[in-house]
Amino acid sequence: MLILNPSQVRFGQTPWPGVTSVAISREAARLVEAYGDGSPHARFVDAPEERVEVEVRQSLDSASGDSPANLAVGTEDDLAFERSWSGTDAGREAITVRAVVLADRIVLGEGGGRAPRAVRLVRLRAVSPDGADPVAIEPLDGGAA
Amino acid sequence: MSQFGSKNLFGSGPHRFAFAERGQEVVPNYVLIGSGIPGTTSVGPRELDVVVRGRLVADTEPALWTLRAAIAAEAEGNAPQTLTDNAGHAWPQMTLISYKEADRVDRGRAWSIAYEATFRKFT
Repeated sequence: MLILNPSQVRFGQTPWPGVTSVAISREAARLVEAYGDGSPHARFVDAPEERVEVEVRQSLDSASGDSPANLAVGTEDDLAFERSWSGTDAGREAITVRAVVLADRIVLGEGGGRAPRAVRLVRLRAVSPDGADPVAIEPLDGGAA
Repeated sequence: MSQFGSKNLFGSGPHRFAFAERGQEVVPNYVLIGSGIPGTTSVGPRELDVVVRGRLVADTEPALWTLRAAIAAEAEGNAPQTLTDNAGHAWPQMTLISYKEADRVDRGRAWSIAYEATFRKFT
């Protein structure tokens, strides 16, 4: 899932302005693959353990000075943001992911001058203390389910 | 389709048949003759063991419990029956002597658990 230009992005109580994208990826953390007699092909494949990773890309405003302090790796909190399909209230959704910070990187781009362009990349891994899907999507007022 | 007697115990998921170790039953001489005697003696062919390894698969947890309980009941019942593999090869008078499960039930799209069942033809 890729969300471009999400709004109201925050991690815990801290707002994250300038987020240009949130990418959510899923993969099997453990795979079950079983074969039977008489065929070279897997007869049963399942993913009983799943890993959900989130990458947040934030454009840092060089005019405002230094970037925020790095998050402590291992910090756990709610990453929350909103998205809308058309830039209006129609179909607006609130997305919340309980997640742990794996990395918080600043990447300097080509900008020249005294204020190079900078992007902050925060990589997180979702957690689910109650076993439910860690990515919760709720329609907001005026939005469709 | 494999069968044990008339029951399809393993058909919910993929499974394979294999012989366990074949050959002679060899006993140390100090057991047969007495202490201080070196070497071993063959006392005849080993009993035939057939091992089935596979995975039970169900849509729900209760359905998986039903599959597991059916095999466990056979293992505790100690009733010799004909074991038939997926290709139709049959071994008469086999007893399910051991049913061992993996260390976890896997819950993804389905409920499943790996197992190993050992059948023996007692001499």
